Order: sequence, then structure tokens, then C-alpha cells
Amino acid sequence: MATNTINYNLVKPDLNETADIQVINDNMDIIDSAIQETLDQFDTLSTNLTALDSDLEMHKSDNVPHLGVTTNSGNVYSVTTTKTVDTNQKFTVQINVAATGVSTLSVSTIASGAAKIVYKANSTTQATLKAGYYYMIYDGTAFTLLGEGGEYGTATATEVLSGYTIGTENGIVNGTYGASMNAGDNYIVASNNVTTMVNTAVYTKKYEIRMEKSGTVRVKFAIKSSNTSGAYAKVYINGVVVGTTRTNSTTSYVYYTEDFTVNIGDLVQLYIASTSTNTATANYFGIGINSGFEYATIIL
Amino acid sequence: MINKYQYTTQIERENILNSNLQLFLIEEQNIKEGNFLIFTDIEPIETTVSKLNQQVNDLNLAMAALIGGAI
Repeated sequence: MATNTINYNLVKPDLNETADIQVINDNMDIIDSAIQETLDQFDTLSTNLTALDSDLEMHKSDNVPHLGVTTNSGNVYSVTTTKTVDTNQKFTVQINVAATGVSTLSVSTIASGAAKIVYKANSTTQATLKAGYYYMIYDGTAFTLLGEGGEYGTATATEVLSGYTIGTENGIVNGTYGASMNAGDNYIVASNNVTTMVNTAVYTKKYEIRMEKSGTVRVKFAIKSSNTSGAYAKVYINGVVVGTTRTNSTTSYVYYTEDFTVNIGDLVQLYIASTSTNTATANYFGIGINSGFEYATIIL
Repeated sequence: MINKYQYTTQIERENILNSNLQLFLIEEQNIKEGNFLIFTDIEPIETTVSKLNQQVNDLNLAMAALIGGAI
């Protein structure tokens, strides 16, 4: 009695049976169909493999090789590597030491190691490399830094408010503007209250301004006398005389200007005196610094 | 016109003051930029007023004397 094969159900006549041509033909048809199906699958696999090859080629530039650590001669950096870098391919490299100016980079597997310009990100300005890791792209001509900002502004530490920072070529810089006062001719506070001292030789406090920051300040005031006996004035800080003794023996105002070092909270004061026969008059007591912030408060 | 003179010693200061007696001292600065004396050739208004007041007083005295003499 005939039996069948396991996979394709071909008819296998028993050894004592007479060969039936139809059964043989049916088996041949099954085999032919199976072979064709296999060939079709092979074609499909071949097509898919070609597509994979193409995809692989497309993503080849997505590979980001690390080229190693550079050596340098001044601002010319070199790295020796076995890894290739194609046009428009990114790579990383470790710069061995900071440059002192615009830098070039030579990669042994690119253009026979010819030095190439390194540009800042989003810029055609050459970069000044720092020590550390860099992420770059090669455009076929030059390298461009990736993963960092482009240009920096022109502000310097003295132009940025104290307590704030600014990004610069040299990294983050702390602002110093307003950190302390510096004596100057921008009079932030001034009292125009005329005050007098009549027939009194004892120095008496007539003006007082509290410092809201430390630094140096320019103290200015004017005095005059009712006659030639003289008007006298001195600048004090916290009740201690620090200024030059000023004497004006005319009836016209004479201004006196002097710089002092102060601490936050200090009281800058003006004391005046006259003689027993005249009246001393003071006015225009003010504090001058080189910026426009109000760092002082009039007390008296 | 404003004239500004720098000095470094008290002797220089005195010399500048004595050399500019015809001018009017309007400011003295002892600041980080240096020591300066500033003069003007324009008479300060207070001086002008003071002189005028003195003239008025003199005239009043003279007038009082004349009136007194007439009486």
C-alpha cells in the first residue's frame, strides 16, 4: 500500500505495486511548485539584502568615531588614528592642551594629515580650542565644532552686573559691575539744603549720608563765610575726622572734593565751624561715583 | 575762563594760590586723579552781591550824613 512523504505529501508507491505514471506526474508537479516557491523566496531575500546594504551605506556617516588624543605644536593640533572620517561625518577628539589662538587640526586619515581649519559652531570664525573633548563634523574642507554655541558678545566682566555671569571665549565669567563703588563725578546723591553755623568754633555735624555699598567715593561740598573770618569744614566717617580741614575766608562758595574709601553702612558726614564773629554756610554736599546706581542714602 | 592747576605738595599749592590772586578760587580737589586748584576769572555772584550791598550801605551812610548836615 502506498504512503506519503512528511513535508510535501508526495505519494510513495509500495514496493510491490505497479508504477502509476499519473502518481509520478503528480509528485513531479508538487516538487516543481516547491522548487519555484523556494526560488521566489530567495529572490525576495536577495532584494531585502540589497536594501539593507543600501541602508547600511546611508547610515555609515552616522558612525561617530573617537579619533584619540591630539598632540600639538602651538595652535596646530594633530591626531594619529586608524579610523577614517568621510565628508559630512562626525567624530570626537580630545584636545591635549588649550590653544592660545585660533587653531587647526590635522587628522592622519584625512587628506594625508593636512592641517584643516576648525570653525566655531554655526560660524565661519575660527575656534580657539580648549583642553578637553570636542565633537566636530568634517565637511570635506574644514572641521566645524558641534554641540556648543557660536559667537559671543562683547560684554566684559566690568560690564556685567555683579551676581550674574556671561559666556565668553574663556568660559563663564562673573560680572563685577556694581560690586563696589568707585569714586567718580557722577553724583548719585547730594543735598542742596543750605546749612549755617553762626559764631561757633566747635565743629558740628551738618550733613550725613549712609553708604549702601563698599568702595571709594568722591565727597564734594561747598562752604563760604559771611566775612573774612573764615568758614571751616571737615569730612568725617562714622564720627571720625578723615578729610582735610577746609578753610574759606571769602564770601563766595568754594567747592572741595576729596576721595575716600568706605564700607557698606558707613556714615559720611560733613562737620562745619565758624568763628565767634561770622557765619559759615555749607551747601551741595554730595557723593560721587563712576556709575549711576544709588548706593547711598541721605540721612541728614 | 576756568584754569585748573595740579599740585603735589603744599608748597606748590601755596605758590599756585599766590600766583593767581587776580582770579577767584572756586574748587579744590584732592581726588584719585590728583590734587587740583580750580580758578575762574569771573567774579562769583556772591562777591558781586556783597560789593553791591557794601556800595548801598556806603551810599546810605553818605546820604544820611548829607541829610544830617543839611539839618
